[in-house]
Amino acid sequence: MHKDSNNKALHYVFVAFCWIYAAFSLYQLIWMLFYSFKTNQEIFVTNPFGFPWPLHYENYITAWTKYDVPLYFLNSLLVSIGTVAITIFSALLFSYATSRMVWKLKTFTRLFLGLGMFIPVQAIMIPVVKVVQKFNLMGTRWSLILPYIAINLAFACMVYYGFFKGIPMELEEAACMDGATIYQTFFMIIEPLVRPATVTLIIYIFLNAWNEFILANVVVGSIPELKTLPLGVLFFQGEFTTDWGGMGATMVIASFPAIIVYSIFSEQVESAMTIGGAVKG
Amino acid sequence: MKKYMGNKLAILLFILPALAIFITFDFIPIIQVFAYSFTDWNGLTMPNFTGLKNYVDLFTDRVFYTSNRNQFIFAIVITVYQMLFATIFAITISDKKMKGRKFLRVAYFIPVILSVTVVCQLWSAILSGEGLLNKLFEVAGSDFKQNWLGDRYKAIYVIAFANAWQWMGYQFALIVAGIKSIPADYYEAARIDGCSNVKAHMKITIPLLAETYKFCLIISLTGGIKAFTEMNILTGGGPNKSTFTLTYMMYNAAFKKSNYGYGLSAASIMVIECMLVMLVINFIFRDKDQKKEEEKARRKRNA
Amino acid sequence: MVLNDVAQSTGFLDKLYDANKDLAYAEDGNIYAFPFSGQEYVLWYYNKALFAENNLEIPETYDDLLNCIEVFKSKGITPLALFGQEGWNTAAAYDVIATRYAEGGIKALDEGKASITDEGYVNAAKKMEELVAAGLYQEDATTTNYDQASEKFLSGQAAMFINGQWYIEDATKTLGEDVDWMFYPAQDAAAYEAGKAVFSGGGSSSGFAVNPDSANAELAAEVAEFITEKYCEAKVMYRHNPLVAIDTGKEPDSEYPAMMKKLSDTLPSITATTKFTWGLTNSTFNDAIQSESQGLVSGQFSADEFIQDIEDTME
Repeated sequence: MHKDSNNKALHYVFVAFCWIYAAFSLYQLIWMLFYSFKTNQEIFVTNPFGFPWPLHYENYITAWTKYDVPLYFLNSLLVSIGTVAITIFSALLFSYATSRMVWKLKTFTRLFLGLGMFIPVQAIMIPVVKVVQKFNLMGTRWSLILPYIAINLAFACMVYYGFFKGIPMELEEAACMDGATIYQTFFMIIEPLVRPATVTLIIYIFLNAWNEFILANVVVGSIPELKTLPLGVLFFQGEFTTDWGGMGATMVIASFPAIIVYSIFSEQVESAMTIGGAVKG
Repeated sequence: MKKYMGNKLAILLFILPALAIFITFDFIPIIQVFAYSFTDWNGLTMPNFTGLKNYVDLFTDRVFYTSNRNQFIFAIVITVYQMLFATIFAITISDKKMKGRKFLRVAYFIPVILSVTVVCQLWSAILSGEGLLNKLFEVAGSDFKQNWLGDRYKAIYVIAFANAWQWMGYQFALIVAGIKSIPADYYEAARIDGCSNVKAHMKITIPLLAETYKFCLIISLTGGIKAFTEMNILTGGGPNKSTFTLTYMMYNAAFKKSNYGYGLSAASIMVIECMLVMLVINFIFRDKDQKKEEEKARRKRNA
Repeated sequence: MVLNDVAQSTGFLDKLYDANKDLAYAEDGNIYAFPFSGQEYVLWYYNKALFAENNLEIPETYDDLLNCIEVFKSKGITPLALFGQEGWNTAAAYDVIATRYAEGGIKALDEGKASITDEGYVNAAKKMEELVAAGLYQEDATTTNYDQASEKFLSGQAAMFINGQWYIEDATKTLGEDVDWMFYPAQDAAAYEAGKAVFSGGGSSSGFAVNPDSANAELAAEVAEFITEKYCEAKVMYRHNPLVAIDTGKEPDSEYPAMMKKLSDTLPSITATTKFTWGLTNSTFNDAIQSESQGLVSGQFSADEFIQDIEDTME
């Protein structure tokens, strides 16, 4: 009995702590949301912590019209979509060939690409820039898309490999006997079977590309027309640090898609991001 | 059938896109990192081989030691913070009787999906001289105002904290997933034996999460070694490079001093450090069965 | 194309200010372009009203300066607002002191004509360390950006500010009569007077050049010189900017802001300038001076470390 009451007390302490931390976790976002609707005066002097009223949505208009936010949004969108599409496509094909098709070097090739999991993007920043320059891609969005694909491939292939292993070989045999070419078999029978993995990967890769900063900073950081949203948010550090409202609005716009995706697909997003842990284990 | 599944042309076509992009934009670059670290490359002209000179310079550079110290602090701070809180929250959340679980899960996870630049801007505002943190101290009547981000010794701690705050949700989700796979009967049995909640978790949950913890340890420790973005945005590496890391040394050497060869030697050391950490963690966490095999083999040798 | 002869024959050389000679001549002693911009200068701005309110004279020596710091601090006023986040500002803060001890300032260090371990530079570092400890700059100077520091100065929360002469217009617009610039304080009265001829900062050597292989190179050169002269004249007369390489002899069509007039009048007596960090040629030194000066400003790096680190880097 004594143990039980101890248990209960401890339990309440934990629960209280959970809620306090949750508030701490969310507070910054709410604060950002709030001050994106306030004027500078309100943010600094009259109403730093409270609810914004009236809602100064002109900050959003300023962000949209004056601070090039639509441009950054478009760039992020194009780069992310391009990355997702090509990564999924290449990884699917690659994993299929290295897991189910029959050839000598297949394990070696699969493990070779798997090396990508251990290559930190921070280390290769500089040579990547040089390679991009060599292919004359600087100044195009490909300068970002191609490296992004490269760094996401290892993970995507690993996930697909896990899924492919679980599909019985009989399927190909049946298709072969029905006279289908290997291509038809792949696209019409196998690919649909790994859709769940594809959906998960789309979310994961999209978020990675949308929020990526390090490579973007180095590759397009000095090219205003190609900047992505994470870079656009930084723009404020130098120039318009005194317009906090506009800065807040920009950050909200930058975070908006990710938060929407998460609200709708929370289960999938979490499993997408943690699939690494599951599969590696 | 073998011909069908061994269709050389198909295989080639299938592996080509991924391989081509990977090799060009990922594999060759990492090779170049190591290769150029032995030269005096300035980014433009042909490099000259200089052997170990860059590494010698690196090991005699005061900033190298500052960087390693910072990486170490960063890694420890984020590992302890994330694993501790993630475990506590994951365990508390997994209790199905807990009210508001769904809301709490979202609250913990949302920082993970934000861009690191947004997170840094928010923390920069909070940590600045007149920011929220100092204001809190003021409100509490204390005199403890600090120049958090401008302090040579303290800045690295708050920078690590910002990263820990953002990514705690990630480890949290991992551990929640791990807990899900623990059969409920274990807890039943523990309860029948009169075990308290805390003890049950210590004896059942945590040991069974070994694999998950191994992964968490690896990503947070290597995360500390690779640290760059947070200090880049929050302090610019300052004051006077006191918040540098090896990655930052590479960035600075290449872009400010055009000394690419030297910068890449710093990057090489960083990669090697990551590999070492992974090897060590894998070794520590190696399978119980593996350990038994090793014991057997050792006994055989000694016999 | 080498333009030395054309510069001579058109009288360009006669009109060229002494201090701007290094803008026109390249390393090898030839003129390859007629410079259209003049030197740029690091000015030590101050708020006249704040000084007057506190019965303070313009500091001429460092002792005067230390006194001012004490008085301002006791009133809760920041003596000097520095935007230490930008390495060039902290480097300039060092340079305005260094040039009092060693005329070449950071320019001589950059060009390898002097060493950081020379007595002048060491003394300058120690002096700066002393000033930092006394509280010359605001506490979080190293994390303050330009907007914040400028705001502090323009709103009267800070008494002094270090920036280039391009700041004259903004400063005048907000502070009007209350703002002025002073000559940098020095070790003693003699050094102060002598130091008036040496400014920190420097211009760029961009200008109008001629391709020697073109059809009418000689004529083109004369035209280039002519364009340069007219450009400079226009800048003076219509843009109210007297900072051009040559003595145009023209007057602006409307009043210069007071600070600009003062600078313009001082121009002929300036014999040397150093460089802004973006004009430094040795990138290793550039990185080091910006980083290390920031360290000095933070107050957590000693002058000895400053000297030692730069010496190690320049090896």
